[in-house]
Amino acid sequence: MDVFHAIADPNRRKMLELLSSKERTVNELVPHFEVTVGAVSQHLKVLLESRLVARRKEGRFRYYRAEPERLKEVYDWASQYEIFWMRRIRKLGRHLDEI
Amino acid sequence: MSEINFQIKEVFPHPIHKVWEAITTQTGLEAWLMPNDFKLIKGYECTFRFCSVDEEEQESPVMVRIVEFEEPNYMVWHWRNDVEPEDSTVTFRLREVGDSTELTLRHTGPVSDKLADELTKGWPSKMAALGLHLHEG
Repeated sequence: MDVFHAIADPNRRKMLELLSSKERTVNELVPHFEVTVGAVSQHLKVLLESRLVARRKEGRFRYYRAEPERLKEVYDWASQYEIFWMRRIRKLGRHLDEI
Repeated sequence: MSEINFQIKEVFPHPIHKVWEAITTQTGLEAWLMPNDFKLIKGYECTFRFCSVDEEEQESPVMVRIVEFEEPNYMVWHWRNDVEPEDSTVTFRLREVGDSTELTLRHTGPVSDKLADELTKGWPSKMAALGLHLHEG
């Protein structure tokens, strides 16, 4: 699944943000969105398929967490346009390299 | 280590003294280039910083030494940043063209490939920023 497609949706970007601070279950995610549980699950599915999100099972719960490594593709694409005076992008690139 | 040999020429529809001021004053340079502590004094070394809200995120600054100048015709800088071991040279040359001013900016000397690429892509956008600053000022 294309990573650019996965992050094209604002709900999915917000989901990534929430999941990068800590891992959460679907039920913990739902209150943060104004869409149905079904829609939240659909968005999560896209993120899982693009490997931006991973999940683990613990008991009867499933925990989701962000896996930002694949964002490096986005960084690599954007860095073609990098200029000397935009060095914060490069910082991000270095940060992603370190993950 | 490789070389940069970059040149860009722009004509700004402003009088030469106005363009000269934009490239030789602290406030002028801050408006289109970077925050700095510039003073137009031969031999003076000043610091150009990257805009950043976070001190820890701050990139290492660019050190600029004013090698020579002749108002309002030209100014030469030695430019050093990061761990680049040698100075490169930035030259601003102004020429009156009717009521307008032609600015030729050259950046030459030993810099890494990566930096040469970044600067080659960066200077044209900085020229555009200078044009905007002159227009608004």
